[in-house]
Amino acid sequence: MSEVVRDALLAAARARGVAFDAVISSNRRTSVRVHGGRVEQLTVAESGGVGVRVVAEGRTGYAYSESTHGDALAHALAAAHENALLAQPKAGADLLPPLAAPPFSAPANRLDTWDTPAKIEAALHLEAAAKAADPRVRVVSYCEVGMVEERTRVVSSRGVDAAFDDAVGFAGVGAQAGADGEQRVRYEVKYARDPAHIHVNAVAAAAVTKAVAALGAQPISSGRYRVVLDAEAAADLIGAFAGMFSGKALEEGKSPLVGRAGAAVAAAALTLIDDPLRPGAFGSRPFDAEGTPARAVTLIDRGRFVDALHNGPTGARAGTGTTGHAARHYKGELGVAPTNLVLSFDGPARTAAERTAGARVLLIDDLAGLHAGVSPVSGDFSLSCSGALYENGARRHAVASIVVSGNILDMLGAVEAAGDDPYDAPPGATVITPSLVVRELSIGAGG
Amino acid sequence: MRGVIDERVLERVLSAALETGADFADVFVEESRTSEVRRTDRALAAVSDGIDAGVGVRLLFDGDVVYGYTNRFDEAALVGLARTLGAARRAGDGAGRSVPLVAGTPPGNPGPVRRDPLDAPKRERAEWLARADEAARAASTEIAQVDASISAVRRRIRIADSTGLLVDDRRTYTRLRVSAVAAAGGDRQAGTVSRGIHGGYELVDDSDPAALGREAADQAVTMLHAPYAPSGPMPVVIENGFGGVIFHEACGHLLETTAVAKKASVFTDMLGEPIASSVVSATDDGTIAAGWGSSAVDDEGMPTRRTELIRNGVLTSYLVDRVGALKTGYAPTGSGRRQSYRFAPASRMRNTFIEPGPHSRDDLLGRVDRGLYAKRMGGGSVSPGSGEFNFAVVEAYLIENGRITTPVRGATLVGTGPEVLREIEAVGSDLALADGMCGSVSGSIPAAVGQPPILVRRIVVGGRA
Repeated sequence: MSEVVRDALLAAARARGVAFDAVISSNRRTSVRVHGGRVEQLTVAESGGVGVRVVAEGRTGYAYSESTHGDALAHALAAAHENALLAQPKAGADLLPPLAAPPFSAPANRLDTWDTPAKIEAALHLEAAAKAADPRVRVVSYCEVGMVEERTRVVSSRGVDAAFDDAVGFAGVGAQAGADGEQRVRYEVKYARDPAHIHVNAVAAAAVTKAVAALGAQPISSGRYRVVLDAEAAADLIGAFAGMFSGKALEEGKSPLVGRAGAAVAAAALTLIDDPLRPGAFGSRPFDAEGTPARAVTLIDRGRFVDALHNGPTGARAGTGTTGHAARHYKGELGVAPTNLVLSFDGPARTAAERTAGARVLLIDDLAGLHAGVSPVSGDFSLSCSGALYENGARRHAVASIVVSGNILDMLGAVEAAGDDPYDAPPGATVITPSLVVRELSIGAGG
Repeated sequence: MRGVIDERVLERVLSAALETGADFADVFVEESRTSEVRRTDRALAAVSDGIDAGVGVRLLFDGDVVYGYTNRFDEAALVGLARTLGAARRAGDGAGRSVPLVAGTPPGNPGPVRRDPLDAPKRERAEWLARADEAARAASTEIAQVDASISAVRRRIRIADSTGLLVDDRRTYTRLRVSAVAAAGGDRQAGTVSRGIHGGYELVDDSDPAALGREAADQAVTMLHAPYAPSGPMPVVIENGFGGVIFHEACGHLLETTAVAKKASVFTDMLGEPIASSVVSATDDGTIAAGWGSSAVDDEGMPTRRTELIRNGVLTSYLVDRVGALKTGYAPTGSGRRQSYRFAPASRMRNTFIEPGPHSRDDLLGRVDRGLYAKRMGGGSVSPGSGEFNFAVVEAYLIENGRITTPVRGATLVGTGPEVLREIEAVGSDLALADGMCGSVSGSIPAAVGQPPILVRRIVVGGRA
């Protein structure tokens, strides 16, 4: 289908005499949500769209359409052209030429063997396993199994024509545990490209273990605590600030890294690389939204901010050229985004016991409010969280409804160790990191 | 428009759905036209238009949902989708019956459009944005960046179901947003104001760009020079308008049958019982003229209405959609909503607010020796099962001896819904609503929040310890 759309766009552009590129997306989704041993919602769907960017005299205009009929595509192209003529010219707007893509090991995918009855069976099994895992599980509030298949094609009037297929299956469950009037809900979602790698008993056990461990929360006092961010919490927190490495945010003055090029912005043992070619990672792809071949970029090298991520226009204005990090949904504008942000820490990988050793250590294993409690401009965060208090290496009790606050650069600068528990970001997230031991963070609490 | 599928075609799609054994089916047809003009870095940064077009088909089997969607509008594709959905369910043969549709007339449109925003010249929109930009920058030399945008969507919707319902609805939304970044000495803070209506370009015509630009700039500059908020439990006065997000998160989501039907809400099975302080009465109203969350009919074709949720602290109603009604036995409240054809509808809030009380703002402040005045709230979220919520406060001040004093930044409020509802000590008289986008199981939808100023006796504030 995307070939037909490509050809229609190219013909319409020739007729109109405009330079354009387009993101053509399509996806298929099958998912099964169960509740109470019944299929609560079964979804079978196909959809997609085409996003057109026209560049005329250094001006850029956009339009999109979810209809792929020839007249709709011609209309989108015309609308993008008219919009471009309204915009103000900006340096670096020109479309990029096609470049040869690097070797890319396309992820192996066995999801075609996973039919709807098998997904229904897996979902029912997952819910039953979560309910049976512990008598304190009161409700399984969420249980879903499914898969999404996506095709992305980037084409341009300069000759770019690159396509990439990917698919991912998932099984997720939310377990609500209760005891003595207290209720806690925790989630676990497993993603894989091979259904054989999705073990629903393990997914259920992980969610229930987390929910049950969260019971028995006791108040603590506000203050400054040595903090261990478990790997998922660390990934969530750093991921909420992933935009600060964007060349677009930097040129617009909307990143805490403005003016910090070359400066120490993290612990000297910490290195952060964006690697679009990481084998098997869910953010990997051979090219970006302008069709530029992907390559790894070191952002923080042993604590120093050394490079930013760029698309064609921001790279041209920064004088560095694109890094192959153009990002664009078909409905949106051309932006900049990371793929797989891989954090490494030069030092011994600490075991769970080593991480929580110390007079008073707060383990944070769940963060909430990430869409509201972070300021991408300043780097400040103030987030609801929960976890457990450790004293002299022993777990004392769970903690809940507390607030962890700080600034992302201060936090990265205060990382003293990393764990032996690497965590791979799920689709849509970006950060691959072990757990992190942070010297001190501010905790607001009700005790 | 292509989005209007002939009713004879819809009848055949619904008939095909019932042939699979479904006991109910509906079809949601949508064509939306979007337009946005955005300014940043002192220049018109992006001008874009778009068309969203698709069809959602839902089959119910004894309350269980099978849902599918497609961008195709032809009869073969839609009948095929209905059959595919039935087959996915492994459904048996149903009693194939014809479904004569009867066109209904929606009740009065709560979103009348005086001026179609998609017809407003883009140059005119760009000039409005430039005036907001210039005013923000003129407000302070510390303003380093300004973003401003005007966005609009015109949705045409047709809903048909196997009871014979056929209803068309037009919904036009217009929203404007101005954001300023203040910077000094390596520190930077943002201030944002937005306005949205279920209505047309009159929102922009009636808004003063300079005033909005200055408001965003003042917020950013004030926070730039503010120390961090203190931490710990304290009394909090939450301002009206978007302050209502606390009720939306701490209570509203917990009253949606999406959670209640699974007994996954802390307010399950509590109708007629006190769940809040007796000074609290609250309403969810989908009929407010030009209300950001209003619509003539919900996304299941049912007329929206005004629903009293809490009266003097006592729970009086949940928010109920069709599936929620089937599962709980509660009467539907016209609350089935969805972002688009890509989502099956679910029970959702519309315009949700705490009703006004007797107190002035000064009365509320005067009751606090030392606490926090949350002038402008950011977003928040809630876990329905535990009731745990969090809200960011984007502009806050200390209250000392009954007076607003020092601005403070970085405050987050946390707690549980049942706790905070009981801790509301007094409710002001000055009700205001504000626009927001609410994300949940059926996607991101326009939903207004609101309240008068309220005093919460004790709430945990996370700032810097």
